[in-house]
Amino acid sequence: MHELTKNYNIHDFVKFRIISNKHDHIRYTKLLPTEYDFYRTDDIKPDFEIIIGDFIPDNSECIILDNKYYIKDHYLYCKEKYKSAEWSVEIQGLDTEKMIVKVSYNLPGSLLITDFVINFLINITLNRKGISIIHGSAIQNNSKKAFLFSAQGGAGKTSIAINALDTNYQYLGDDTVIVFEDKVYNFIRPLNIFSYNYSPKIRKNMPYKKQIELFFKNLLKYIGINLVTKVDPRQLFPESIGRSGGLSKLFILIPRIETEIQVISKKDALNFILYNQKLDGIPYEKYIQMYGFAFPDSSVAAFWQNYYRNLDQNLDENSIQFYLANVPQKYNNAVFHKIAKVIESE
Amino acid sequence: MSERICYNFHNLITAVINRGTTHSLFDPFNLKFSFFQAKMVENPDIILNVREFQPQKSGEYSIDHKYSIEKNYFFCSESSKNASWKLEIINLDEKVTTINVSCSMKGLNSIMYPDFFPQNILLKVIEYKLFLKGYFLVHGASVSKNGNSYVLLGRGGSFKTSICMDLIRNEGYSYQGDDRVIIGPDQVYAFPMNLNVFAYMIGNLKNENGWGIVHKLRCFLLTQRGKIFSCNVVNAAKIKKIFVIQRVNKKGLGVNNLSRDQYENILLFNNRLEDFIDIQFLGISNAPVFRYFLSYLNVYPDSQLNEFLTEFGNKLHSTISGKQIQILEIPRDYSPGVAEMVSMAISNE
Repeated sequence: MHELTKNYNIHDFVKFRIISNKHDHIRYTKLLPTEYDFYRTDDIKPDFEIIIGDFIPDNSECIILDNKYYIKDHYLYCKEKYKSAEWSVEIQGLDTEKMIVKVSYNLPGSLLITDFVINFLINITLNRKGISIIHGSAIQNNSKKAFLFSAQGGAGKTSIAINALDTNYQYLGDDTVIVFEDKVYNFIRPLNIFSYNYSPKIRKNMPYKKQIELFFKNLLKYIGINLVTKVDPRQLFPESIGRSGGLSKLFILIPRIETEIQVISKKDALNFILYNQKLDGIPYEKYIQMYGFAFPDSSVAAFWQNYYRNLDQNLDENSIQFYLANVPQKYNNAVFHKIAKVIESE
Repeated sequence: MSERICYNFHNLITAVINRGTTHSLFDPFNLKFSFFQAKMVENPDIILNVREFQPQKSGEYSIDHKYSIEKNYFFCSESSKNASWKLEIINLDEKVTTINVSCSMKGLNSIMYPDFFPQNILLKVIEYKLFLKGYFLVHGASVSKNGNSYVLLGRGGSFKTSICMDLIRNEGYSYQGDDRVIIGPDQVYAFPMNLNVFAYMIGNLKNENGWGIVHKLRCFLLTQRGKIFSCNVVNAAKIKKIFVIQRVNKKGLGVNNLSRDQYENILLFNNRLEDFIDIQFLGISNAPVFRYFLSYLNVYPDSQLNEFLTEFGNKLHSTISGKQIQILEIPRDYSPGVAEMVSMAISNE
């Protein structure tokens, strides 16, 4: 049975609904995004509603940018292509309390709308409400003190979070987490399993089917095909998923030849986090700038200024310590021991 | 076998391209900065080497397993749908910047425009270096009359090129550029890219929409037979008015005035969006240069690049303060009447 409607509630911060258009039932329901299934819930009053299926956009009186972006007040429509993926999206009520979003896509496009559309809507909603989202992983200890590791890919943020599970920490997220008023809230999405984060604990709990999948994907690597294996963390370590904790220490991880951990100022930390988030936001940066070009005094145009302002408000330097951790370019267990030392020190 | 081509951009910036290959058949299309070609330049600001190379450094920092970064150093090796490239930028913030690129492309574009990607990187570095000197390489067109310059900014598809063509043919204006121009204190400096193509279009096409494969081929064959397409270029003129052209999905034309600070975002986004768009036709739509800049800032947040990515709009805006700036709404479909309207807006006091 494929469902027609999925409701999501992420800590009451973002609530949204994905609806599959009836006419396209068979074609689309198999392709409904599963990225946020941890936050499935019954009924909600959504911040935005995504209706999946073919649609006719309402393009009258729009400004047309680059021949394909149609923009008017709180409205954006475009048809996008990325490699073989194609999708079109129409957002009504952009950056308001109720966004109605229509999306249609082809098979490869189904893989991208999470990054290019839903992620954008979540980010813009959090930004509007003054809540921060940070590109990083986070863990918390038994006394609900949380530790955050903000980094680009390849710095070991996932490895650190997974390593920490072996020493009684709880998991809050491995790629993005939510921060509001000095508290870190989990943001649980499927975990990408690679050889380097395939820890004993994960191996033990990995569903049999996923183990086979991983085995074959690893074989494909030898002929140059890289496919990720995504597993729901609830299947791997259900007892180790935390909900939220007071942020105690925030680490900026940057891979470097020399390993070193130093205290930095809040201002420096914010700049690192900002650029980190901007890099992560490249898939939707074009929407921000296109809309911002047409409506230069909108809050969308000021997206990054608002992001920075929210960060500044949500991270109090009196209760949070900021560190710059230069970690080896290839992650090893010594990294976690070094970081654990700093975490456990007062 | 290699070749050295020198460029002098209005004595504001100089560059040298060293190519591993020598003259190619398609160079009249491939080399887009020919207007600025000089016999020689001493102490060039930018050296662009287009050939196979080994990275000079292994990189103290690594971002996303892909980029090696050190102070004043960037290296990456990447690929996209139709292209793969290696890029090294050395001493971006010093007097002399060296760029090493090797790039291989697939498809027709690799024959017609083999050096498009390296030149695109050069364009971004020129934009950055000019910015540090207080000059702005803006995404826009400019025409000139009686010693005055009129700049037309706007996103892709806002018919900047067609408007320029008609203003020059019918309204007595001269050309300064239809994709980029340099705005400095008081003056607009010409920045023609592929001037031969623009000149061909003026003589042979109604508007920019006609520039397809047939005309490309014809223009190429005529050039091969020795025909030279050129038009008069006004190197520098006094900046008089700036328009932001907006194509609107309705009939009729309109003029909008925004408050001054709203223009800062427009000026910023108009340029930065080009990072996503201007190499899209190579199948690269994820703004590599923008990502390189952000990755560098992710390691060195205090570098001058920060100012470039955030202050471009307001610095440009204060440079043109006191000049008239206006939004011009034009209809969805182009007709010569649009150029007439622009001409009227230009002469309106």
